[in-house]
Amino acid sequence: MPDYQQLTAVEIVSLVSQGEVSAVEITREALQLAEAEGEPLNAFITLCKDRALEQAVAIDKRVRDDMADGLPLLGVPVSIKDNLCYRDYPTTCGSHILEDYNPPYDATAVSRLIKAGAVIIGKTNMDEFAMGSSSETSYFGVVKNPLDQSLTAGGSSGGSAAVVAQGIVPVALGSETGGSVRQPASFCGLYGLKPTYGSVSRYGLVAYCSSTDVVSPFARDVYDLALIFDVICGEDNNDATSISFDRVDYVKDAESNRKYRIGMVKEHYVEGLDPQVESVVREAASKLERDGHTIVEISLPSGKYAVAMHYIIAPAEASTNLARYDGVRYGLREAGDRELDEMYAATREAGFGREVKRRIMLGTYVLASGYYDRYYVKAMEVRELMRREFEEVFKEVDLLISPTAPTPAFKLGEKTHDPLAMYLSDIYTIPASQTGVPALSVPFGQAEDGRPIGVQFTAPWLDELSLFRIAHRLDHLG
Amino acid sequence: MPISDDQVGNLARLARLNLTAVEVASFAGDMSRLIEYFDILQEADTTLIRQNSRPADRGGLLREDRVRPSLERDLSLLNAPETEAGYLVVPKVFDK
Repeated sequence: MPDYQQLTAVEIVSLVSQGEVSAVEITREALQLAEAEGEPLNAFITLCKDRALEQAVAIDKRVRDDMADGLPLLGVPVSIKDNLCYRDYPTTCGSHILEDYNPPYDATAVSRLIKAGAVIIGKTNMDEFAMGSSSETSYFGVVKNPLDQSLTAGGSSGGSAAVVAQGIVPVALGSETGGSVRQPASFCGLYGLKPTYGSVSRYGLVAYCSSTDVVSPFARDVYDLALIFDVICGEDNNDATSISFDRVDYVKDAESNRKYRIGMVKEHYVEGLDPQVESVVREAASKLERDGHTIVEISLPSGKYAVAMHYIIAPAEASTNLARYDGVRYGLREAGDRELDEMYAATREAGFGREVKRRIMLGTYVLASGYYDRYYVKAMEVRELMRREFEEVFKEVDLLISPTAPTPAFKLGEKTHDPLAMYLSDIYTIPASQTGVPALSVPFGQAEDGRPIGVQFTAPWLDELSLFRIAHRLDHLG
Repeated sequence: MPISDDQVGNLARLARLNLTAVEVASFAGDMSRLIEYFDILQEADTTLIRQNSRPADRGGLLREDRVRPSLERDLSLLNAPETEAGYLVVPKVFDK
């Protein structure tokens, strides 16, 4: 077998479908790496060994029986973030309160992967309830960056980023609320896509901020990213916010000579942005310009409100969504001989970690009578203001180019005691999350010390194809 | 406007969270700083938005109202801490 850790998903599908390598061989390799190389990074919470091998055996049988034609992820090992339900395997969300929760059903995105021939290797570590930007709030310990273990892999989907960067799987699913895939992609040198809100079903994704949560993929290769997006996207009756839209061939059409008008947001280049990141973004822009694309300066004045708006809306929705963890229907219960009210509070005290409690408290505050108009309603209005600005801007340009994160990967522990500093690391990713447009972090340059740096492209609603095309072009330009 | 320990305690009761004294003090500090930062939003001119529409009101898309199978009761109860004869069991609600 060729060096597994270098293989793309597209190459694995070709090898398995032609019978050159069996799905079982590939799966064993992935599982062995998950133990040997995933464990030191603390990237997995649960490995799904038995079922992964069963799935691989079934795929090999389909190949032998000539029944495997056209399965887009045939035999491809995939990891999924531990906030995606996978039947009968723990879905912990990185939390003690869900440590023993075994969902009786699969998330739609996960069942679509399986139907496409993927093999689910394991469930990856994450910030508790996806609340964090460094994968340090997990009840199961911090995730380490495979490129340098003293660095964060980013968050909240840090485990999924780490396993793709380490070559344990070629693609993985994370989830986004305010940048939780794009930022770790930037920190680990990967592609990370935040799809259009509603284009991928949220059914079976544990809810954090329902108005921005999106299942979002990582890959080391543009075609792989387009491929996995193509598999998981599409309308789903089980998610009332899922949308129907005209599908295009994201993989076949990713290569294109279309010349784009690309906006650079002038407000982005301010204090707080690492000059190394700025120069990488400017270099990418000038390469694209030399390639025949047009770069224009545009203004998005509401961007300065992004962090404040997001950290009002997301905790508000979280405080509501997390009310369900009360020790009654599932999850932890701290009963003793307590009465009902005391059981609720004791269960939540024992089950939630500090960052989750902080956000529940913040959400309760901004929704409380007397503060609701000043904070929550105002934030919703600012979100609408930003959405309208995006609508206007996308009449002028096809895409936006920007930093993904203000800095390369930071040190583990560097921001854990300063919530505001941690929240500010999401400043460039929040706008796409809060307005629903798709955005992609492309690995492009690196800092002097070798830490990878991602460049973010943002497209109008449902134009994921242009994101794949520009990423493909940039990859070609090198 | 700083948030006092008392306010934090009150919010914790509303959110049904028991907090330790250390957590209360630390959250009061964190939340005061964050709320102060959130006041940047007051600069944003949203008059037009307030007049024209409510945010996130895009006209609902409704699915057909049709009965279809859902998760069976036994399966939905599998993860419950305590059940009896198809019901969820909770601690007593009232004093004896």
